[in-house]
Amino acid sequence: VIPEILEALRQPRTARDLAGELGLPLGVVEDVLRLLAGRGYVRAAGIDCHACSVRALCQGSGEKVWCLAPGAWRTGSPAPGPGPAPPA
Amino acid sequence: VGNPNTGKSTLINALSGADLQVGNWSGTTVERMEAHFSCGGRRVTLVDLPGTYSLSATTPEEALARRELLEQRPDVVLDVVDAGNLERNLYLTLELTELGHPLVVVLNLVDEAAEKGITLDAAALERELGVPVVATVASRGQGLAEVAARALHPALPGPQVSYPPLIEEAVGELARSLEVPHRRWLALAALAEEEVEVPEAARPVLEKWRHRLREAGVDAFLEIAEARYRRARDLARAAAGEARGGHGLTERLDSLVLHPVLGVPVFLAGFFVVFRFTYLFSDPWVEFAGAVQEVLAGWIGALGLPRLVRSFLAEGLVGGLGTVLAFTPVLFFLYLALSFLESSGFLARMAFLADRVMKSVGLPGRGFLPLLLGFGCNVPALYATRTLEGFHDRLRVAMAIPFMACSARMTVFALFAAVFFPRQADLVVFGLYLGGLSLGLLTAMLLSHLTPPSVTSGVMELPPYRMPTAAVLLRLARLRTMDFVRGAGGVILAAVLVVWLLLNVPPGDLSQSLYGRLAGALGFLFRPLGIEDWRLVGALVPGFVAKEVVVGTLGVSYLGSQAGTALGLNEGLQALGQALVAALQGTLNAFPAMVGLPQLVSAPPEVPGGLPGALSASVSPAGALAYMTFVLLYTPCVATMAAQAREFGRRWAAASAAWQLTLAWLAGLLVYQVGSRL
Repeated sequence: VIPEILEALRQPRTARDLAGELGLPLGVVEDVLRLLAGRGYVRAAGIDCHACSVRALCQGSGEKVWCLAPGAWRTGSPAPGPGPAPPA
Repeated sequence: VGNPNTGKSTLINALSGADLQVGNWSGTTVERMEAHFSCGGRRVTLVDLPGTYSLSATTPEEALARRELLEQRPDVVLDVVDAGNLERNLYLTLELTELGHPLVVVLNLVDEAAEKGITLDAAALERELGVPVVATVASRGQGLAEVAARALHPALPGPQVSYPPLIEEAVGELARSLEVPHRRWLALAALAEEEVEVPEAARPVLEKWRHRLREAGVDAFLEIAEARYRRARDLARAAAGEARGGHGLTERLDSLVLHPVLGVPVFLAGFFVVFRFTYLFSDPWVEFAGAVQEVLAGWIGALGLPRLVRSFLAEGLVGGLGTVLAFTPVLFFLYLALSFLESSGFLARMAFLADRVMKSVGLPGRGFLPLLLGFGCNVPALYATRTLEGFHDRLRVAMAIPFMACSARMTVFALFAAVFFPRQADLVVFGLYLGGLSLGLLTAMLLSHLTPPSVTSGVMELPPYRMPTAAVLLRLARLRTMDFVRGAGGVILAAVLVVWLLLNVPPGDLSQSLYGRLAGALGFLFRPLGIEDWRLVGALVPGFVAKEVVVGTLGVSYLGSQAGTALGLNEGLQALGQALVAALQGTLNAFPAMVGLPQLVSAPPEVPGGLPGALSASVSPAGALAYMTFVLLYTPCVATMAAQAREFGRRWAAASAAWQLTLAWLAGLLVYQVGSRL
């Protein structure tokens, strides 16, 4: 679960995008992101509304876009389990 | 214990008959609550903890849940799991198995899981976990007897998660040096570098293993979390079938309710229905309560008591306190409707929809929930701002909260709207609520130019839609109405006593009494607003203490000048019987009236008497609307001012009160000047 999420976050994504791409329940992805953000592995990069055609009318909050936190991943620390190692 | 919004408080209420606060959103329970009941001849204490996703304690509520589990050593832990979100919920379950407490898993909300097409195998989960697993629908009482029975025979769970060999080795050695029952969990948390207290004696072992893991390039935190998530996934697959495709109820409703364009009109319509429901169903019972009040005053008049005692009982107690209590049906039906919005999940979505509007006026999106709470009572709403980050975010929301029409102000609106705008009462009150909200947001917007920008994240979690049972709604409405009666009772009684005393010093013409002259002296301020009657002006003064007092004071001062008619016992009973029949007819008529159909039973024509009659003769409809506007916007109550002073300092509280008074007067002036020309 976590290696896949970290790998996918090489490109900024919303929790919903991650859940769709990885076939995980949205709630699980949100929890993992909360956990990782709490320890400084990932951070919210902004709110994703730019692609929405009704953004001027929208009352929604948009969705947080998540990305890897720069420098937060410890040097030499591989991602857990079978997932590929993230960049240092 | 369990994830947020899984029905923990509902389960405890259902098991014990307690009245813990329940709601369909994350974070309804923010403190430790207890309830008691007897089970199998034993007295059982149930402890309700705030919802938490893990034992990592990233919020104060999660820290409270963790502290309770670690320090209080419960006899048994009931882990309430949302059956429709098994994989997510089982992460916490796995942590709980590592704590070493006897455990029972309550697989709640199985009805919602079934609606999603998820087939559950509680027995398979029980086999995998090695602890009792009970499927329940707590809100409908399903499975409760089994929970109670199996909680008396819980099982001690064994290790559930296999961690990588190096971590297992580290946990083994570290756990042996820890002399606490939850040693496996503590060893894991310490290796993951969570904030936990490790005994001095175990520190060298811990440091040794942390060093070894770092040397080996192992990130213990990630490895431990990953192992738990994988095990949670395996367990969920073993216990729950795949949900069938297609969109569930929540997705289908959200496509309409959260629609970018239709969302706001849908919610405005929803709130209008709330007010229409409140008026149509409460009006017959307000009339009935008014009739009870008149009969009581009549009976007191027939007792042959000394004039002063009779005056106090009939005009002071029955006229003042009785007038406020007469409006409790309005509050009951309002709370009933709001409880439905809250429990069903619509209220949380309103906060979600308001996010963009909130941000445009410099408020954090999450600040809308305290604003919504302000419609019930401003004081807890002010304390709810503590959930926001940053002093200035909190301040902006707190300055907007006093403009939210609390339920105490509803009694004034209900009285005046029924007297002056009987056909559009629901629309008038709806407009006042929206007006208060708009001016609150305007206040925040003005303040955002003076204070630094928002720092609070706007992201919030949406609960699923749920159909609350009638029993839950009635219980919530009853509890909140009783809270109002209990909370307001003392203040109203004291204010009514003072007002009655001032009205009778010196005895005789009330307008020449101390109260009449004091109120008359303030009259010049309210003449431009079309409010000339000294009794209307006078009621605004004790209204500073609490808005519940306004109607009571009006009752004392208006009814004090009317000679009550003495009633015999039979006459009174006959009048009460007629009033009851009329109330029942009115309730029957309310059902078709909700959808604009003709009445089922022809209602008798209404003849305004008592306070409504006296009021209608003392002010014009435009003046009445200005009066309601002033009541909506001026300082809500002493308790709100005190809460503002405590949270933000006296200067901000004083500035807020001054702004409210200014805005109330200006808005009242505008309403009267425009209204009287239409």
